[in-house]
Amino acid sequence: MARIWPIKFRTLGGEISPDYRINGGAIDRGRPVPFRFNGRGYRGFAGDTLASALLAQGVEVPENVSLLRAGEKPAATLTAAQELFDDLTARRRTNGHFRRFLPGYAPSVETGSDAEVEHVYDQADCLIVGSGPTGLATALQRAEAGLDVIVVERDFEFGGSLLYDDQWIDGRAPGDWRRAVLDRLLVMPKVRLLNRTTALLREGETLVHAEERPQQHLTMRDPHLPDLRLRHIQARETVIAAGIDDQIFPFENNRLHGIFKLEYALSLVNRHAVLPGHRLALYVGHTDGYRLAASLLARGLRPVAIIDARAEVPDVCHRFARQAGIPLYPHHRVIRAQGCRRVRRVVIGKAGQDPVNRDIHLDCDSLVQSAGVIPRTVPELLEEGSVLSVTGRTRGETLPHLRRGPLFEAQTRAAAFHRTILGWRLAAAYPIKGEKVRAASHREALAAWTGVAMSDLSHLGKIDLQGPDALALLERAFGGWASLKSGRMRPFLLTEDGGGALASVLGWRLAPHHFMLTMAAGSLATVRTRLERLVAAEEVAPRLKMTEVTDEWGGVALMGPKAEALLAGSLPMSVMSENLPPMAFRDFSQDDLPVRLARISLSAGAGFEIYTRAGYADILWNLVLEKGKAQGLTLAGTVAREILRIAAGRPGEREINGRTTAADLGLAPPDRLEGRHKSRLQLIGLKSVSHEVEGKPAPPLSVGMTLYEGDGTEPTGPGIGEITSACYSPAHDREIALALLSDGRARVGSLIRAATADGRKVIDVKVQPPRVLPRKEIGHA
Amino acid sequence: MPDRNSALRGQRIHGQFGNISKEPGVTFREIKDFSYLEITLWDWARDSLRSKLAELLGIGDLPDTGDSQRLKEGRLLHLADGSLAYLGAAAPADILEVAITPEEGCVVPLGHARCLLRLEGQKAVALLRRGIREDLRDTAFAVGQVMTTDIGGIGVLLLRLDTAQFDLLVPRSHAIEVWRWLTRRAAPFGYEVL
Repeated sequence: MARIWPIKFRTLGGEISPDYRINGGAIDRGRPVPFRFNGRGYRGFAGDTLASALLAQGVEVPENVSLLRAGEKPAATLTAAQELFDDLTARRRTNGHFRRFLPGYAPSVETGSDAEVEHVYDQADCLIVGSGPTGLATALQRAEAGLDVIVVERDFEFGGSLLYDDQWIDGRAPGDWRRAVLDRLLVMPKVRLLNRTTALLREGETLVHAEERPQQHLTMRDPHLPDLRLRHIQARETVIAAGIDDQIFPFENNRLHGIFKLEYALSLVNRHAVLPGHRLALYVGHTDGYRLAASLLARGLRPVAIIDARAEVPDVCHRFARQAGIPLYPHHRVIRAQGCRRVRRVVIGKAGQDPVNRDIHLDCDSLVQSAGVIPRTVPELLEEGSVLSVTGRTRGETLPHLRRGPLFEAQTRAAAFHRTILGWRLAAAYPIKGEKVRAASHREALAAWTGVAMSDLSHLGKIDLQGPDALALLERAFGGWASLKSGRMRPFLLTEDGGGALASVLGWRLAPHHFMLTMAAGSLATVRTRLERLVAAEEVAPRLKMTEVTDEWGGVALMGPKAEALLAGSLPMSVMSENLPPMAFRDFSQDDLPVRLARISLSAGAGFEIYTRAGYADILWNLVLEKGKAQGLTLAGTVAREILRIAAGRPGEREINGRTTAADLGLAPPDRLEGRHKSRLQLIGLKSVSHEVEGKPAPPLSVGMTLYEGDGTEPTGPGIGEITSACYSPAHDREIALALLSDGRARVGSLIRAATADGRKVIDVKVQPPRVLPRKEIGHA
Repeated sequence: MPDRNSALRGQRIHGQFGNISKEPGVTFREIKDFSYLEITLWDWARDSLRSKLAELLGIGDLPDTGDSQRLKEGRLLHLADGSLAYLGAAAPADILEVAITPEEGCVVPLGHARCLLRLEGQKAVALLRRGIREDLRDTAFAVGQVMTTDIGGIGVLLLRLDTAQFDLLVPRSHAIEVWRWLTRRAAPFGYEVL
């Protein structure tokens, strides 16, 4: 094989400075910009990118490598195309390897970082992606037709190829044409020009998701601006004018430093006044590729060679090369690039089946290539997760669904310890002077049993149901509503068709055609969905209106034997038994305050629920608090209410789980219980009979513990039931629990065992009835 | 009636915030005392009740769907077929509750279930665009129009009072989260809380 070694060509001549910076370009040499990269100080100019400023000083970073902005937590990810700004500090990523992104895809902020992301929903008649000559001309034409126009440009300057190309438009130099069009667009009120904005994805015909980076050109972060702005742009017409992208040739070592795409090299030379290399070889597959050589020649610089892959190179190209004195290798290809980190030589050979196949070694320090060009597009969003780094952000912002009741502030003033439960910020307990939440809850529960305690009920789910057909709907859903008189309440169990209990609600009849349902916050969606399905199943639209009114009402529960005395001394109406029987309510005004008072207690014996409109809830709270001082009123949080519930044997959401029936829960008549559901899991109460051992407290019962026979056999296997609610009861001074136990009623009085899943903790427990409501209270209703 | 407690108590502080180097782009005002009633007309009674309501409220006809009609002390909003709402002072609200019988329709008072915020300023639309997906251009959402939509998944009702003035009705229990979002997103424009 013949070799020509070495072949020496003249290096680039002309006005070349010791570094890679050349004359001209669109940089502002009057505004030097200091910056740091990998710990070293550099200087560029306004208008430079990080890559161009480094390259001008002989430091190359690949076109799309991501860099970290130092001094920020979390560090923002930049691309090498980052525009330069004063005191920019960047370094290579610490993981030591470069991340390459497809052009236009590179997210500027790391996915999953804590970066502040803002969503903006834009609408326009016409969206134009790219602000090159096509984009700007289209924008001007649409704007002059009176349309709303949005132009997105990923660069920090508008103009696209106008910033580095030298083809005249409408008889004007590209720069002049660009300025003239931009001047006109900028004063048009219906035109929005968005730079530093990359169109990421198209979704359907009319939606484009774009990413704007409002912070990444600022020396000092603006605390008011987000790191990233995701724009969801809806437009009747979308024009993709994002320019072209060079296709690259496949050859060995084509990822060495010093190998550039043509458009990028043109931008470096003409816009940033930076040479890709001192000895530049051009490797092209189309005539347009000769533009770089022409640009260099216009500056008095000359490439070492042009390698043209085409079999038929047009005469104009031969003529150009000849006149410029540039060696032209027609119908040749680059076989490999050689060099350690940066290209030092390329080996070329005749393309095709040439009988005289000889390699040619060209000394060069850079190779600019373009096999052809393809227009840039905006990819389609085909399916969720198809482009992981961006699709997650197309869904828009979701606010925390954290709800606060109308008494939240009042509770905070009362030093409540708040917890988030089912999306609500609720007072778990009201500790006094260093008291632990557990101890506070025990104190609060005891107060409800022996004195009087007040607890917030505002978060309970509430549904208002009105209309002539409301009663029929409730009858279908629950049954038993027809006999409920106005001014009375009654507990109901919502069951599915198979009989499984879905939710427990308290039904209020406000008027013959007006009802209210209150329920645990977690049951609201279940009840609402069930009722809506029943409504939807009707052939004729029923005359009823179902409205969630949870936020409309604020309320408190007054619990304990002294509750009645407290109210008797503070309300204008008597709440003695003959006027307000159990499970009944009255609406009245107290000092212009609308009040709904109900005598009910599902947890702690005697008790009341008092509601008012949410805006007045704190007035009610303060009123009761003030009047309750004489009775030693105690504030009770959700933990204390849970203790009261378990002690009262009231099934909660863990017991009413769709698998248990009313009979299982002890809410159906005894004959049905004994008959059809004897072998099912039945709700029972448990109390621990394990006592202190060697001074250590008895181990606590916990939710999820499996129940086993108390016959001394090893507690393994599926067991005979499961604990569903558990707590320490200060009234009984022991652990108590509710459980679903196989054939539970028949086991009352027997000893069984509760064990943790790992079997490490085994506790002896006694089966007892779940304490249900005193029958007389339910009976009165 | 006693003073109504704000859902934004402890959150809404008067003054200028955010980018205060320029005139505030948005002003926020919470309207504490108002009535908001959702009125449902049963299908069969719609026509008769339509004229009855119009007469009661002193207007020629009910507004079209998605539109609103200014009243002496408030506004009547037409949210959807058979679904209206009244937003304004308390007095007409009482009349409405009495005027509509259970056989014709029903009225659900929800004034306490909502927090009413008035947004005003050159950047009001730009701010709302950061949370509302619907088209807020004058041509698509004109003055006097009303929409039910959501901000970050929280259902809200938006009423355009003027080119750059909106009423935003937010569920009371979510009001603090929406308020925090509004003020955070308004910070770049500068905002004033009245």
